Amino acid sequence: MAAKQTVLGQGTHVVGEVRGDDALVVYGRVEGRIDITDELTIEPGAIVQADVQARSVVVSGVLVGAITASESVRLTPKARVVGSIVAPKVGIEAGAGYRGRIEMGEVDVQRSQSAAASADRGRTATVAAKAPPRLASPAKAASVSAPAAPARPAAAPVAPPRAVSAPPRPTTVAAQAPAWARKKATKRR
Amino acid sequence: MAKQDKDGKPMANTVIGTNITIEGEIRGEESLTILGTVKGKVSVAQGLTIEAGANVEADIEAQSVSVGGKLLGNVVARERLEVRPEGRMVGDAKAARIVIADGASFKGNVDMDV
Repeated sequence: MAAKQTVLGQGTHVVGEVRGDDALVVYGRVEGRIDITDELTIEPGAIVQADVQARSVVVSGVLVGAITASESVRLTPKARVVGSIVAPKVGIEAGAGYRGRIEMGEVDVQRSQSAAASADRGRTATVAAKAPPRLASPAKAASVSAPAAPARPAAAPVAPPRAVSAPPRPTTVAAQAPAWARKKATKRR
Repeated sequence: MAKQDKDGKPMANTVIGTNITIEGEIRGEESLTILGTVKGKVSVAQGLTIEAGANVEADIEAQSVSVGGKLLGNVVARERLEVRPEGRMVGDAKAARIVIADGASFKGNVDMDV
């Protein structure tokens, strides 16, 4: 049992980086970074100030930092979490405390890390069951998750044509005349 | 699985598994067992066990230390240091009692506070 699971006990305080392929259970304190390919469990009483990456994460203690999971994240009623969550499935149980931004759907590690950095300000809480199907279609997921990037280049070409097309509109009637004069002119005709 | 009862008295000793690497500092009030890789600094109030297969590059401070794996670093044990037959240690050792088993390999200074 010991070989497959790593336990950081109640009185243990790790400052630095924890990484590897075993399951990790934290009862104590971790500051720094956790990067494992198995399940991470943060038990009641544990304090983790770290960016966390794992297959699945179950939080029952205190966690401050960005969470990235390739499978799921679950916050139990005892959880107190501040930081972004990126995972295909996210569950927040009644009683859990959470502040941060949640991103569900397919996990793109590179994007999620940049998103994690900027995400701490948002205040969104979504409960697992309903959201994944909605985000499942790739087109929609893309439009939801990355609206800012494509919008900017698209806007630039649109603007100039409008400026060009604007002047020809007042056709024969004195192009330089003020608006009230033009109105009068059309009425008279 | 680590045992834990509801009213906050979990007796979970710290175990660092075979496939885990910790880089940095580990401090503990309880005993610590290392089967994986640790680099940095380790200080625990009770016993430290470095199991066969473990790889530790760290300065160590503990009540008692038992080395069965590979250890590169200095050890200060308040009570006892034991290098077991399968242990490999390079570094200075300071402890009241030191045991180096037959078959163990050791390179470094020994200070028994005489």
